[in-house]
Parts: sequence; structure tokens; C-alpha cells
Amino acid sequence: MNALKFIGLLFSPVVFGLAFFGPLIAEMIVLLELSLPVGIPLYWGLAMGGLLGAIAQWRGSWIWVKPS
Amino acid sequence: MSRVTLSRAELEAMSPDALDALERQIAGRYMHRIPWGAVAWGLGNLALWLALWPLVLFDYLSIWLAFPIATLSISLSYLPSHEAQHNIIAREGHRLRWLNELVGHLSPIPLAQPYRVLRATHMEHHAHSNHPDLDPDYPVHAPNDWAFLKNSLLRRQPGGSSQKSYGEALERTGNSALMIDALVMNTLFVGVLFSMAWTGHAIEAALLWWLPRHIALTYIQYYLSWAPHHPGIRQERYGQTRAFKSQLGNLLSMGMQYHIVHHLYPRIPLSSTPAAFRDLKDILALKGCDIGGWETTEAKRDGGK
Repeated sequence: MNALKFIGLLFSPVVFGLAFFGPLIAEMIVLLELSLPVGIPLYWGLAMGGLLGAIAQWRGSWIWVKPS
Repeated sequence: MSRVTLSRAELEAMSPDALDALERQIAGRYMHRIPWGAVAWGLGNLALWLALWPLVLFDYLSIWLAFPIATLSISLSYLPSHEAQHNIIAREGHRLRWLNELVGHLSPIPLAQPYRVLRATHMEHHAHSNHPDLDPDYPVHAPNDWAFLKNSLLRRQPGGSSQKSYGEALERTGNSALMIDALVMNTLFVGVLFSMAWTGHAIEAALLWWLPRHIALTYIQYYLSWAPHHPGIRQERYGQTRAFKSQLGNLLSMGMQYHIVHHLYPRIPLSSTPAAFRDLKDILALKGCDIGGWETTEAKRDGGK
């Protein structure tokens, strides 16, 4: 993997979704005392953060609306 | 001579050269002052923002109280660096040059913006204000407040163009190497966010840096770029920016009501632009500037009778 690809990956929405939004969502689940049907908050956070990141990667937008 | 001694008729009777000389003479009174307030503001504001982290992490301060403080602090972090970008604190060769550069580098850290990139692109903004291809801040333009907000949010999305015009400006001016500064700063930013998140402090990182920075960027873009340059269609010296009256007053609009003075005389410190504007506005109105509803001295005098 060359340097540019690594930089692109480091700043990609998927990585941000997993590395930041994942733990953030997990902490919010705990803070709000939400009951989970299965698993622990971190797994849910990573799933949701990863999904958000993947959508942002695909759409080019975290807020669904595409930049013109 | 100053605004109080000359009526509009007397100003109109002056030759263009004499009027230019008078304008420069008045502006000159406000230059060559070291803005110690901006120095204290830049360094003190950074210290305040940095202090929030241990205060919150060691439970001396609630994160919910720290969040608005962080937002205010990050919103205020750009302008001291802006003074440094224009060498207002100390120009090259001055004994306090180091202080100029120190404030320039340190104050915008909460914004995660590198000083040398800000300076290089800001000089391009001044050189080509409102030029669709050459002004790096041109993409901020929008027809109204809400269009600005939508544009600001969309440009910051992964597929948006927020950094495109800055990258192009650096390339055009032979400053591509400064992209490394941007890379280092962005790596530091996401590195801190990720590290905090994976050590159980994601909410603190989100409310001390990530979200306040987004709010601050929107606020700064609105008052420093959009409002003083709206509608952004004139490119000549006396038309590329305007004065305006902010409903939030001068402090909350970060002194940008008088941004027209800054573009005409970038060496005037921010704290002096209101006084300089009051002294210059009659001349500026005569020269076709949009003085944004501020009354000329004569109109104010007549209205007061």
C-alpha cells in the first residue's frame, strides 16, 4: 500500500465511523441507559458507526444529502 | 484633517490624488501598533481550551458546561492568527517577529488549521477577492443566510469541496509543500479523537473538539467570509468587501462589520478597525464602497438636528 492510499484510508469515512463514531455511540448508549436486545454497547456502536461510515463513503455525505 | 473637519462637498471638491492621500493619512494613524490584546487573546484562548481537557477528564468541570466554553473558545481561535498572517504583531526583521509567528502557529490549533496554509491561502484571498477561480474563499458565497448554512455543511462532507480551493491555491502559488502541514494537523486531530474514543472518552472528545470545531467553522465562515463579502460580485479595491450592521453587535460578529477597512488596509489591527472605519467612512462612501447602512458623518449630523 503506498503512502497516498494509506492517507486516503486514514481519513476515510469508514475509518472515522469505526474509530470515532463507534466508541462515541457506545458511550451514548451507556449514558442514555438504552437496553440492548443482544451484545454489548461497543458492538452496537461499531456496527452503527461502521454503517454510517460506509453510507458516508458511498454517498459522499454524512447527512445523506449529496454535495453538488 | 479628519472626517469631522470636512463636509461631503469639501471631500467631493478634492482631486482624486488628494482624496487618496487623505485616506492613506487617516488609515496610517491606525497602523504600526502592536496589538497586545490579540497576542494575549491568542495565547490565553489556547490555554483556556487546553485547560478544559484536564478539568473535564478529572471531573473538576462538567462536560456540559465545558462544551459551550469550548465552542466559544474555538470560535475565537482564528482571529489572533489572522493578525499574525498579516504581520500586524511584528513584521519580518522586527525584534518581536518570533511572537508574531508564535501566535500565528498556536492560536488556530483548536481549529485544527495549520498557520502556514492559512496564511498562504489568505494572501490569495486578498489578492483575488471574489474571483470565482482564484479566491480560495469564493466557494463560501451563497445567495442568503440559509443557503450559506446548507452550502457550508455540504462542502464539509467527504465528497464536498471544502479543501479543494485551498489545495488549488497552494498548488497555483508554488506552496504545495504546505500540504504536509495540513496532513500533520489533520493526523493530530483524528489521532486525538481516535485515542480519546478508544480510551473511554469519546463524549469528551466530541464535545471539547469535534462538535465545537464544526460549529466554530460555520460561525467563522459566516462572519469572516460570507457576510463581509456578500454578494461577492465586485472585485475592485473599493467593492470587494462591505461594511454591514450585525444584529449580534460588533463583538459577537467578531469585528467583521468593518471588514472593509481590513481589506483596504490589512495592517490595521482588528481592534482599531471600528475607529478607522468611523474616520474613513465618508471617503469610502464617496469612493463607491458599500458602507452597509452606517450613516456618513454629515447624514448623522443632519439627522441629529
